[in-house]
Amino acid sequence: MQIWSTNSGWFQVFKYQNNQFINWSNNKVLDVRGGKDEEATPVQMWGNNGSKAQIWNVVYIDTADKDRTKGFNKDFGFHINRPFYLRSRMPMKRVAECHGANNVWLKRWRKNTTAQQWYFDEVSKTLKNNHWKSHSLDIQGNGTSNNVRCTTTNSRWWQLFRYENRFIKNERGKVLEIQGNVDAENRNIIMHAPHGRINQLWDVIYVDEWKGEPGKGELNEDFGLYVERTFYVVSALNDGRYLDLINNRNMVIKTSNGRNT
Amino acid sequence: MFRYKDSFVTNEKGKVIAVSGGLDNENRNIVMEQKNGKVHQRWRVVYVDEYEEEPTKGQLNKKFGLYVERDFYVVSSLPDKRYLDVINNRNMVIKTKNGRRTQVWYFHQQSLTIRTRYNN
Repeated sequence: MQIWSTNSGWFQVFKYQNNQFINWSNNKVLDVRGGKDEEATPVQMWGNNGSKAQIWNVVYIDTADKDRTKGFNKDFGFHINRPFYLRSRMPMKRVAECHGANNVWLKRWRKNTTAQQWYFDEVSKTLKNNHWKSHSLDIQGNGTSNNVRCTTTNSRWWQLFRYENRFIKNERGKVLEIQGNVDAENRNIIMHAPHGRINQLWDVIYVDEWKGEPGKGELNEDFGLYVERTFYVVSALNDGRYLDLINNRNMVIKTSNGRNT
Repeated sequence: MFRYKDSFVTNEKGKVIAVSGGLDNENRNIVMEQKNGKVHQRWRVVYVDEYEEEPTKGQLNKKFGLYVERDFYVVSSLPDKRYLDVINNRNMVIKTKNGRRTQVWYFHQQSLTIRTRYNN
């Protein structure tokens, strides 16, 4: 089926009856090809078989439910309109940032940086950037590339992602990953077939629940250490020697000696 | 001289009024031809005082089951309830609701067609 300039030929005239769109002339009905309930499945005219692929509901917009502006969208796994960080599970726990309304990079978290914040938009069903609000997470080249960027929202399949089991997944089964498994600043983010390694795992952390990184003197729970609080490292061997540095480079154990090494 | 009987308008030679070529198009010519009983030869005489005007904007067209020029979505009954949509400016598919005008349709009374709001 296609759209075409109006000419009212028999092939353009349909009535809506018993939840079917029926051609006025040949009585064929509007049908989802193969009954495939998948994104962008074509529709066609087909003999009436009464299946669900041929049953349609006309929902007049003036009486339709308004799009939700908050709450959880189960299909996509995100809260609606609630900004979040997309934080990698790799050790540095960097976040995905929209860089200059174009590429999406891995960056260290920075306070109040809205380019690092994303939100699920219920109307477009995309992940919009909280700084570039007309831009959404997108697979470059209309989905033909593996590069991920942030570009003008269009709601096509290459902009639809759901959060599932720590993966950011698209409908073609690929997942968001840090390219080359390298946990580095400005590292590129791409789509890749899932393999489950840590560079494909993400936490969605809502900004209103984000505790921020621990400051000086505070415990970093992930690393088990207090931030910028000086300590010794003492061996559990009998003599209780201290971790030390010799020749400006090599690490050894030594008796406590009061030096900054 | 013509006689109206059994939905045909017949002259004394037995020919009937018909839509030329059976094509239901605007400005199509009307001709006389041999009676064959097909729909393009059949007519209803509707007296003006009984004539039901065509529905106008916002009113239901009962024959077509749709309200005139009232925007609507067409939602599939398949489990994911996708919406009828247009891609590549032409092809009709089902897609997740996305707020684009390619998913908005309306019934156009004058042409008796269903139109997209994408470019209308």
